[in-house]
Amino acid sequence: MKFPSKKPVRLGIAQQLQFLKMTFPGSEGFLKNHKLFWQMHCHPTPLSRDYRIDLEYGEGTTPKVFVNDPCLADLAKGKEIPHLYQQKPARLCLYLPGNGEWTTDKPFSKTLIPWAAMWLFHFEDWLICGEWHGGGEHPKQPVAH
Amino acid sequence: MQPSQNTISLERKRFLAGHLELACKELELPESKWEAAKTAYESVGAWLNECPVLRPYKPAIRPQGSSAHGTTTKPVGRDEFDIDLVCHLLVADDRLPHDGVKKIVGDRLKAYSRGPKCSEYKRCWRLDYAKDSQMHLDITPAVNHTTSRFKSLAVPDRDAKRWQESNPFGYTELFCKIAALTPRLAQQVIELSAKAARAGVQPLPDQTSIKGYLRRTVQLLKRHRSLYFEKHPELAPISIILSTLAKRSYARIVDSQRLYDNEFDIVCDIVRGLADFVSHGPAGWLIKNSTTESENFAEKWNKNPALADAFYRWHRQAVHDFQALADAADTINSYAIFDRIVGQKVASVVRARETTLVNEARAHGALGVTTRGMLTTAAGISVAGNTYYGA
Repeated sequence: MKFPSKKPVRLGIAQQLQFLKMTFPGSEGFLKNHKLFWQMHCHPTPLSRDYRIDLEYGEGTTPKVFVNDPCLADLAKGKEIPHLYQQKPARLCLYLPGNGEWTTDKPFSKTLIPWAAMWLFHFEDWLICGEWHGGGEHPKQPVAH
Repeated sequence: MQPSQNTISLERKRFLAGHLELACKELELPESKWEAAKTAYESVGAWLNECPVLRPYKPAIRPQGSSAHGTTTKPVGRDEFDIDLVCHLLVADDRLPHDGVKKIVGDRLKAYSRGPKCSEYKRCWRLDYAKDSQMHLDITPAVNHTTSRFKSLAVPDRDAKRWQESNPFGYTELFCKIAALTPRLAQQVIELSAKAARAGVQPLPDQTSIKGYLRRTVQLLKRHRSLYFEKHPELAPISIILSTLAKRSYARIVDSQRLYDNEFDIVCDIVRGLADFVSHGPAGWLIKNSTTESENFAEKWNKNPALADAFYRWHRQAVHDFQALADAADTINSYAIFDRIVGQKVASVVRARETTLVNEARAHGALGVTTRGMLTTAAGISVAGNTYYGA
């Protein structure tokens, strides 16, 4: 007998917000014009400065994660930061689109936010040693946003 | 909700303690090198024992100094470690002529056929091994001291042209006894290190505990001293001064029964306390070797006051650097200060190690994120797999 495979359930913006609030109780977010906005502070390690992460997501679109404060380009002092969709304000490239790492059924609280913390950890390492040790892929074509 | 400044500072200090431990591991003589050194000095010992002139005195070779205390520290600017050894003539005493004893040991070492170059130093003979072995053995001949109240030895001193009292084994015994004492630690620090020991993966620095506060602090002090005096090594306080002052400072901390909520503060307090154990009286500077009748480790300071000045200048800088590490605003600044304490090369090895630990923990599914977006190997929201994309 074959069991029907369970189809993953897509998470709506309200559910995503609820997951985020439950996981990161000190942070804030809201829904506006069918879009989710989430803001939280992050220190990848106890030595790190405080970074503010902004996540924006409208259903049917690609979630965007920014770090505005502090300005990462200023910290990089003119060097081009790897794994960004755009340098200013810094929009982080956190997963390989289309390979299932993030899909609409996966909560941001377990994917994009921890990935952003990891990204910042590797960013600090890159600032110190000039090399990116977080792995990843570079697109062959210019990235479409 | 933002955590209090105290919480942040405590987390930083615990994390820094982990960094210091990683740095000390990098600074110490690796186990494989220690085994090679042991084989080398045991072979030298056998060679001395086969000597018809020396054999009646029963020569025995034993480590002294940092290799006996467990405080070996990579030297700055070169790759070889000094392995300090005593060649104790078990049935000889200081009624024998000091220069004669030094000569018969030296003659036998020079005839040693295994290849190391042998050269004379003030108190010892140095055997230089091939560059790739990264070590040399400093062998100090010693006989029994006849007049000391302690179980001291007498070692020949070329410059003073007489025997000098020394008690390397008594000193090591005392050092190890004090190093084995433990200060009062808050329960959560004890639990943290027990948890880290049980964990299947290597913990991140926030979960890494310091292995032996006194030994690790002596390593850090020696390293900081060598970096500080890199251009003027002739002014640097000698290692035995740092070990002695740190040992007394640590004993005072243990005695005080102060309760510590992190290990970094213990290291800082040992460093801060050093200067309290230097005395200055009518006879001049005194850092007494308490395991001998009369050895004063600061003897040279009385002939050259610049050495005392240099010690105090360095000590102020060391206290400042350790404190600055706790106060640094971010990772970049922390590492700039860390460079001053352990050197850029070691600091970057620690940095690379930290990155590897994070990547390994992640590969094993053991990496988590706290509610404040901090990476941890303790319980947290586990990090799923991803691939950083983009230019």
